[in-house]
Amino acid sequence: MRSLRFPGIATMSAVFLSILVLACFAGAPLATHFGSPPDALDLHHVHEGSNAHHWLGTDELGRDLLLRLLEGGRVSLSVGLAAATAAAVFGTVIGLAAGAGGTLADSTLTGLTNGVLALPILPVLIVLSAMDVTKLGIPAAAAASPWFAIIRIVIIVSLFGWTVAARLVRAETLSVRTRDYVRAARALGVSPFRIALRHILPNVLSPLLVAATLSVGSMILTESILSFLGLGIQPPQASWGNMLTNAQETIYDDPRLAVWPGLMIFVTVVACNFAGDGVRTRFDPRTRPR
Amino acid sequence: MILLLARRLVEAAVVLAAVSFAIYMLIGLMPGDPLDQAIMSNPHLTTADAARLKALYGLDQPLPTRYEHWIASALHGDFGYSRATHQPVLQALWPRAANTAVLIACVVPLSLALAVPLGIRAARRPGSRIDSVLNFIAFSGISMPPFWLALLLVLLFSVKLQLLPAGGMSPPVDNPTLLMRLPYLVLPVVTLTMLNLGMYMRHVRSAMIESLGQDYIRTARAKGASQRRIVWVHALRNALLPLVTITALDLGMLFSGALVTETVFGYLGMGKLIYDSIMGNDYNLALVALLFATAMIILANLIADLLYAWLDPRIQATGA
Repeated sequence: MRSLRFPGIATMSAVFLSILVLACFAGAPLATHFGSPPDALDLHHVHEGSNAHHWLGTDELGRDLLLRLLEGGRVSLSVGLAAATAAAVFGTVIGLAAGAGGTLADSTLTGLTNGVLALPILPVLIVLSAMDVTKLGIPAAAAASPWFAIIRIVIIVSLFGWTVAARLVRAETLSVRTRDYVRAARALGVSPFRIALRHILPNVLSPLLVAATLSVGSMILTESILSFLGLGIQPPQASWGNMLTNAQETIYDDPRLAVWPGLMIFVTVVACNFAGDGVRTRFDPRTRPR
Repeated sequence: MILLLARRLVEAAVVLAAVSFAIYMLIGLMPGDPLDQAIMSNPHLTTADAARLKALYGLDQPLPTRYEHWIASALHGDFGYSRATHQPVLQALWPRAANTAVLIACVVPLSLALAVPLGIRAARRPGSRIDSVLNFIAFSGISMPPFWLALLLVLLFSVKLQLLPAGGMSPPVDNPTLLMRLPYLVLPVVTLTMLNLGMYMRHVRSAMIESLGQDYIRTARAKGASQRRIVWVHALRNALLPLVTITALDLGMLFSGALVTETVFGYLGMGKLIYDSIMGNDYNLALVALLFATAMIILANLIADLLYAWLDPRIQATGA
């Protein structure tokens, strides 16, 4: 319905996101290949405006702003997509178990979901990000690597994003499992695990896809908040969030540095939400008749 | 109603107890422990002294045992001291909670005052141009990175126009009056309102579209009620029900959810207290502040449920 009111805005968003992904994943490696890596310092050319050499100018350390934005986008988009996928998978497992696993499993897992929803999410995310993982038995060398920081933030962000998917899958499972074909399968002696996998899951897939697509935007937003607060992706590794950490100090001298990374986050999240909305109108029959 | 209330209160207590345990464990996993910094900053302290001190404060015990001790004294009203300010924890907490309450008391009414008319406007002609524009604004509010919005407002009103202070609580004088604090409230309130508005607007819109499609609206139209009366009296009354719930839930969330805005503006509220105490290894304070924020959310849920049951007689039959 919304696609009628907004001719093509979902499509436009999808096209924009595709171009963005392409630019982010090809831009920085290409620039490195041609001899100007995104994290190359140039202290003779700090706070430069737009020019032929640096299309968007340079930051407080003389790094090319456009290249940093592309590099940050690579991280932010990867984290958003990975976290949305992880949350959807995790939520599906919990939702299926709650919906098809009997009363005890249902009440336990529903209680867990409600408990997580009662948490002040942002502060708890901050505690999790500030946590000392070596106390969990992870070797210090592994904990210090940049890859670990990325995996860690994906896990943390998805740890709280699964509730939507879990509730959705549970509700859908409860309604599907009383249908005749599921009862027939049960009567034929098919195992509960196989019923969940072969007969219930395919029915749940399309609303799940919608929820997952819609969550990418909020995942990117959460990552940027944590990185902005200094707890997510750590510099010198660029991310749109941590590029704004220092912006508060430089805002009087060089407001460009405060504007661009935030604009990238904003436009990307808006596009993700519109694209997700488009996927919903396409896949979810319930939104059509309205 | 009494039964519902009693059941919900017991549920709330159970959730709070479980959450306190989980948060205690998490805080236990934070870097260092409460004595490590004191030990590092004092060269005269030997290893044996440090071990003795740790034993004295029970820090050599396993985490679950420490939690038992903590909950026992917490139930007697003793939450310990803040390491950064050397105050009892609650004494450090209340002024911050009050500051956030001031913020919420401005933001929520303002958001509602804007969202209700705009949402109704959008709902009266779904699919019209004005609906599309409002929908776009709502989407923007939901997609806005809070720190960026705050920075943009600072850039516009503090750096360029130099109309409003970029942050802080009051001008640097002794005993600032409420009037002097007012300019410092403006930017945080505007930021939070803009962030909230989209969510409220979407809820008003969908609730209004639903209630405008009901049979009794057709009846009202048939008996000749004016369009204004139909929208603002007949339809709005029913559409307000979900909005009451959303508002109550939002009130609870805002106690900790304004964290980013409070941090950017240096507004000394709950969110900034939580952030600063976590970053400054002030574990006692962080623990109690987090629990307070959780309790607020649980309380808001409770109030939302009760209000809903009270406002909608249909719920009572099934709810209790």
